[in-house]
Amino acid sequence: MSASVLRCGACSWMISEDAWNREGNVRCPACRERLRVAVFPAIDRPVAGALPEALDAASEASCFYHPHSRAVLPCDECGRFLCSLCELDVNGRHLCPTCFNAGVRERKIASVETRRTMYDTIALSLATFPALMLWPAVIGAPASLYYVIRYWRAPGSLAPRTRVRFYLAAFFGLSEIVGIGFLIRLLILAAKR
Amino acid sequence: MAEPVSTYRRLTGKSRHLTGHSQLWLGSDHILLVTSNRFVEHYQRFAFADIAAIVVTESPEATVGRIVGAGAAILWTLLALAVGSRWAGWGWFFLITGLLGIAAVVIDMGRGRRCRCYLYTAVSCERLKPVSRESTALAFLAAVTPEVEAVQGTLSPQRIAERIESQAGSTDNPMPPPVVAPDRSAVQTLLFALFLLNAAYLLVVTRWPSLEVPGLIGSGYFGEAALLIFLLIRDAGGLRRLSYGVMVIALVCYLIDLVNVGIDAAGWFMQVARSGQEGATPPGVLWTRSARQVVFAEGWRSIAGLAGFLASYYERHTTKDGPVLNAPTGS
Repeated sequence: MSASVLRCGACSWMISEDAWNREGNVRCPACRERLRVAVFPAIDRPVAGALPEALDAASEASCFYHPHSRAVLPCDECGRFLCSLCELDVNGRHLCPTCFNAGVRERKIASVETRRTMYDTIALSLATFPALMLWPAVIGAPASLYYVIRYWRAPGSLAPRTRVRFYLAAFFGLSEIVGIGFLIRLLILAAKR
Repeated sequence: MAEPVSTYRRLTGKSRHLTGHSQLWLGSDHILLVTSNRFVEHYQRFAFADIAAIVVTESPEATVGRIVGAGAAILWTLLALAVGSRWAGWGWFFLITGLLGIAAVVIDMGRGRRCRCYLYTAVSCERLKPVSRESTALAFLAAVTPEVEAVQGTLSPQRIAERIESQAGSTDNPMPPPVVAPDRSAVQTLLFALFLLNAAYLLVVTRWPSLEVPGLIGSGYFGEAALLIFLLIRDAGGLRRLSYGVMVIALVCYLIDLVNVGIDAAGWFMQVARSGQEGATPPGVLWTRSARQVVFAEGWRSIAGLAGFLASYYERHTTKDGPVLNAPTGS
C-alpha cells in the first residue's frame, strides 16, 4: 500500500477521495468519527527512485560502485563518480554513500542527526536528585561539575533551548561541594575538641 | 564558540508522558518531531516536499469519564469536611489533593476534544502525538499547510475528481464498512471508578464509623453488580481480553464479598435482636465485620479499580493506535 491510501485514525477504514481537502470535518463511513484530511500533491508522486542508466560506450564514465552504470556526477567530498542510484543529495551537496556514512558517524551533517544527548539535563539531575538523599551528593556534585565543564561546548538540542540548566547545575554543584567542605571542617574541629 | 541559534519555530506544546515528552517544531523546509526521554532527544524530520497528507481523527467526547473524574475529585475534596478536628492534617491532605483533581478535570475540559493526527509520506505513516487536541490540530494544520503548499503547490479539485474516476472500479475497500462494536469504554471506566470509590468509602467508614451514610454501601454493591452483569454477560463481545480478565476476577471477589456481607448481615440482625431484648443501643452496620473481611473488601476493589484503569489504558493505546500500514509499494 502506498501513502495514497489514507486510513481513518480510529478504525483504519480507507478514506475515500471524496473526503480530501474539505473545508470542515467529514465523518468516517465505518466508525462515524469526525475526520479532517489535508492532502498534498506528493500523494501522486511515485515511490520508486530513479534507476541508473546503463553504459552505452566504453568511453563513458562509469559509477565507482556500479561499473556498468553511467556516472552522472562526482561526490563533492571524495570526487568519486556516482550513478543516480548512489548519489545522495544532502542540503545541496552530492555525496557518495561512504562519505555520507562518515558524515553521519562524525556528526558533520546536522540535517540527518537522529539523536542528541542532553548533557545539561544530566548535569542538573546529578546536582539535584542525589542531594535529596544527602550523602549521595558527595558523588553527585563533583559528577555534575564534571559534566558542566566537559560538555559546556557540546551541541545541545536542535530545538531552541537555553543554557539555564548548565548554570543551575554549576550553581548547585558548587554549593553542595562548599557545603560538604564546611561539614567536613566542622567534623574535624569537633573531633579535635 | 557560540552555540548556533536554532532556526526552529515551536508548532505545538510538549506532550508529556511518564518517561519523557514529544514536541513538534517548524523548520525552514521540514517539520521536526522531537521525542525525548529527558536525557536523550530523538529526531524525526518530515520534509515539506515529502508530506503527502495529514489526517486528523477526533476521538469521542469523554463526557462520562470527565463526570466520573469530577465526581470522584469532589467526593475526595468533601472528605476534608467529613474528618474531624482530630484529623486536621488529613483534612488538608484531602482538600489539596481533591482541588488538584478538580483542577485537572477543568483543565482537561478547557483543552477541548482529543484527537489523533497522522502524517503520511510516500513510505511511512507517523502518528504525531503532540497533536492530541482539536484546537492544537487546527493550529498545526493552519501553520503547516501553507508551508507544504508553498513547496508542492495545491492538489486541485480536478485532480481529486480524476482520481475518483480512475479508482471507480478499485477494490481497495471491497467489503462494506465493518460493523464497529459499540464503544463501552465509558461503562468500563464507570465500573472501575465505582470500585475505587467503594473502596475509599469502605476505608472511610471503617476508620470513622460515625461518617457512615445509611444505604450507600448497598447502592454501591448494587451498582457494581449491575455494571458487571451488563459488561460481562450482555456485552462480553465488546470487551478486550485484559479488561475481561480483570472483571472476571472482580466478579469472583465480589461473590466472596457478598457471601461475607450476607453472613455479616445475619450476625448484625442477631445482634440487633439481642440488643433489643437487652435494651442496649443497636450496633452500626459495619460493626460486626472482621478486620480481615474489611481489608479484603477494600483491597480487591482498589486492585480491581487500578488494574482495570491500567488495562483499559493499555488496550486503548495498543489496539486503536491508528491506521495499519502494509509494506510500501515497491518493497
